[in-house]
Amino acid sequence: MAVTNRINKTTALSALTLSATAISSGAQAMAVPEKKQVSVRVTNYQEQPLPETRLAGGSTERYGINVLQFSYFTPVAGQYSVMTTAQYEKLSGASPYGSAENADGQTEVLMSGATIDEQRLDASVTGTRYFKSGTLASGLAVSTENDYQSVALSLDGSLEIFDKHTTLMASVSTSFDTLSPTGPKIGTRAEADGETKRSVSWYEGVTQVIDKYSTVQVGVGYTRLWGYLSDPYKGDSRPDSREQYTVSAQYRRFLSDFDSALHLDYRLYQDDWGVISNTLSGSTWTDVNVFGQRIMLSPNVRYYWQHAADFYTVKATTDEHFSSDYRLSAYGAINFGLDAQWHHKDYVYTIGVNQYLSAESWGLTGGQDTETPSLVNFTTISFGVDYKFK
Amino acid sequence: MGSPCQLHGFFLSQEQATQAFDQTEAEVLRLEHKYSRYREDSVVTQINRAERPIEVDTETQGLLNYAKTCHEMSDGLFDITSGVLRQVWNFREPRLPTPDSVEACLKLVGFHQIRWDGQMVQLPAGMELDFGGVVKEYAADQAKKVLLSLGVEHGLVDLGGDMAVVGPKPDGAPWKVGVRNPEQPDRPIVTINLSEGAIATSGHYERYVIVDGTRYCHILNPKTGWPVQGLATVSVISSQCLVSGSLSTIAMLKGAQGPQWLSEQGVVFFAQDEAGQHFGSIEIDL
Amino acid sequence: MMKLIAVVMAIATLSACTTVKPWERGYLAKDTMQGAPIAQKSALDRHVYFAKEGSSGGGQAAGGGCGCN
Repeated sequence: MAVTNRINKTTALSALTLSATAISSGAQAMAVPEKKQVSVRVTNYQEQPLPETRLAGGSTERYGINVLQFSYFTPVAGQYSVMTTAQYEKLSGASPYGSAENADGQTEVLMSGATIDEQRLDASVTGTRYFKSGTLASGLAVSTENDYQSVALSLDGSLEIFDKHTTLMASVSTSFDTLSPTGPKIGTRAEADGETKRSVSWYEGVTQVIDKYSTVQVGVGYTRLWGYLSDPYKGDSRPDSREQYTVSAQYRRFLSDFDSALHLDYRLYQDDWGVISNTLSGSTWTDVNVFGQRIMLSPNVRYYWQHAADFYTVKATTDEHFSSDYRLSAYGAINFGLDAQWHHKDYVYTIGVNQYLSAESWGLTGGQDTETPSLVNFTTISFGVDYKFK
Repeated sequence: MGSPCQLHGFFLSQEQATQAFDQTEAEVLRLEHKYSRYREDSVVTQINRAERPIEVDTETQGLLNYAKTCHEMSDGLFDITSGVLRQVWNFREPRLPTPDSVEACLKLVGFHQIRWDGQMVQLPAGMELDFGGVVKEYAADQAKKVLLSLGVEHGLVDLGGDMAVVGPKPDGAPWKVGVRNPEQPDRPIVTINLSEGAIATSGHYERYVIVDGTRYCHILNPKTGWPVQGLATVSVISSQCLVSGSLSTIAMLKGAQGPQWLSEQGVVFFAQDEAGQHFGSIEIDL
Repeated sequence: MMKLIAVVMAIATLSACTTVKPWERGYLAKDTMQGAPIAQKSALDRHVYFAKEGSSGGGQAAGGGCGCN
């Protein structure tokens, strides 16, 4: 059978190595990775232009972003590890700042005419301590751009029980953000200057080993935000607090006939602004042997749809809260992509492409009469390199 | 362990050095006692004497499963039930056993005859398990883990020639490991630079008798009951001493086919046959 | 919502039927079987969805913010 022929004959070396590695003396601590790793990834993100028919003014061009990610992982003194990351983004393009109705009764978008050129830098450090049956980690993250600063702290723990068949996970984090909108200091931009946003968040999950091929993880999360939550550039008015809940599940199964891992994920989200969303994603991760090199191919697909926030509207209103931000409207989105990796000695080279498409009518539930004329479609292309060393 | 054991290392403090020596010694002794044929309270004695199936601890489960994998990967040549042949092969006197006695004893050899299902083990009457072929190399790997957990970064564990490298010397230089020359015990036939991984050596010089000019060594073929012929010494380098040890033993058991088999595995090795011919990817220094 | 959570978690624990020995965990330990095999890709995806959609969160606590939302 063609599928069986593709599988390489196991050498005695690989069978013995696998078997030897798995011998547990029963008194061992959690396995700390032995090698250091440096990873670098560059991504180009490009939104597709707006259709001209839905444009009331300004440019059809939308955001283009180039991102550079860097990370460095190192084990320390046998029982600890430190992960340092940095990310630099350069944004250019236009974003919608309002909408109006046209002659055909459709809403049109007003796009900011000037091209925005912005940069954002973020960095984080996380230290982890490995115990016999668990880990404890704490981290600090900062993000800075010309109109927004954020600092966040986090604490994560994990515990393995039932002979390492079940892992309990918990994490908490909190953030402190400050706004300083650019441009003419009038209206909501002046109002928001110096305002702050705070958040507290926790997550609890359980991972369960089902059999030697599969695992499942379920988790619940809660986040509370408060402070200045409106968008100063769009001039909308949102409540000054937001409570968010998530329930998520992840399934991983190894298909040995295909040397492939199957990933299936689901997340249900709900908040007190009325937004409810569902996210379904699936991917496979298949290893193939090409001229003695290990190549990994992973196609992926994701379906997302959300209900509108209670105060989402494209019309003028005297309500206390209102926003025409498309991210608070009802819509559905599908994205699909492909990642490929080449493993060569101590290096792993990755390329990936992804296309995201969205439309007002694509939501399975929660459709509404008001429209969302400024939904995004975007394409991303990435290239990354990982290097492991002692 | 029946042979001189050494620990070489560079430590951050006197305290770390003391802890390193104490804890590695304790771990090696623990394993020696746990799998010793000579101790009443050892796991292997309990298994060999049990009349009903018994459950074994996780570590023994792992080693039994490893031995099973070795048995399968070596076409049945690597066999931890072959220890009973000791009853007919006595390497202290230069005398060969009778073919009949070997035949009779051979009925009690064969890993495929024991009951091992991953949880419970049971041996047919008269059969025995012998972990001697795996426990020394496993102990070297375990000693290395003890050192890593203490934060030691530069060290070499040497259990009678079976070695595991914790890390190269502080300046990055490798450890210089000499492989014993089968003809001349005090001179190395090749010196290997090892900065990571593990090396194990099997040789026909460890225990043997010479009868009528022919050498009969302690490595017995579990299918014939007679000592192997062909190779004088084999050294294998891999990431774990346990794997290196089993591969070198299997190569000795395969005799003339040993070097070819090791080449197919893709490991770094050195071998010399009884005629003095060399094989493997390691160059010898003359 | 909480009832849904309880049901989901009960299903998860009930499904644990087989014992997997340490030496049988080779497949589970593969890099492609982890939650996020390409860590930087998952991190950037999370950031993009946070900036471009109305929902956030899922597999971990929230972390820091940015001006993109």
